Amino acid sequence: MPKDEKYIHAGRFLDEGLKHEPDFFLPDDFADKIALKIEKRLAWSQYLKEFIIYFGVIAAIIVVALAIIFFFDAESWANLVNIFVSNINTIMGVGLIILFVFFTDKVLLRYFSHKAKLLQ
Amino acid sequence: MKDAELVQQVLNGNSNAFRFLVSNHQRLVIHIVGRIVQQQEEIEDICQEVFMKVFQKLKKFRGDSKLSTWIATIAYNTSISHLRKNNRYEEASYDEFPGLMSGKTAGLSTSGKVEKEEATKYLMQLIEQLPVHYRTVLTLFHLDEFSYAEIEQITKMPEGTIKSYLSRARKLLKEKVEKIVDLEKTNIFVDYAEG
Repeated sequence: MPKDEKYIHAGRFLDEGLKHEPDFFLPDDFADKIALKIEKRLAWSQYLKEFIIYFGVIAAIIVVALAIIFFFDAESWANLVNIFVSNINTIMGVGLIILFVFFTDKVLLRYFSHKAKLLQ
Repeated sequence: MKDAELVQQVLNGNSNAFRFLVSNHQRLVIHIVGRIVQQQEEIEDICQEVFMKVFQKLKKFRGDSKLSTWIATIAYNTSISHLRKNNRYEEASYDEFPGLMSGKTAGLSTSGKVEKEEATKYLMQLIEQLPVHYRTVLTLFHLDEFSYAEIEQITKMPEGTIKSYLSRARKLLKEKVEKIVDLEKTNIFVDYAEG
């Protein structure tokens, strides 16, 4: 083959070479792995959102009940405040335990069981 | 499926839609990440980071550009940040790469016949030795077929700079390929002559 012709072909070879796939690779299940991560993240945020809604509803009911007592039954309100102040540690402790149990039930257990199901 | 539909499906919490999005764009992401980072052992983690960012930022995707351009921007920025974090980011021009600028065709068997496969491998090595911006622009333009405007959007480089990087890189690579032509026993262009 004449050299001039070879030089012309060099341009074509370069164009082809630049379109050649590099040797880098990702595992075959890459998309599945990412989708699994996303699914776990979506599940976590969904369960957390639901927990916040439940918690918000319960807190709202308690606040409304306390407001009713405060405005319509001053004597009971004073008793309630006394009980609260004298048993603050117990009330806070029980409250935290209830919150933890509620969180475990509505978020953690659901999340881990969903995760186990995904990994099967 | 159109970009907007796919994005909406992902935002609605459809993980299969996201799997589809990843499958469709992983080739693009690995080209960019691979060519910038160049370390196979780091590529998978960075590609994962890219797609997690894509998922987190998808709400902000307005559809002003193609989804592939938007994902390429995230892949480019993530890879460059990774290089900066590991102090491997060089802004040097290719004049500062003596291995590339020398007339040697290192890695080629100059005594035997130069096969097309060997020459292609040599060309790949040359591309990997180019400075990061040159090889990125070459990859985006030739391999992923983005336009100048899209490359500008991805890399934030002015269009003139992109054109200049492309032409200088091509010129350098062509010179190197022509060195192979000078080898007496090369037969890498036989296919073209027959075609």
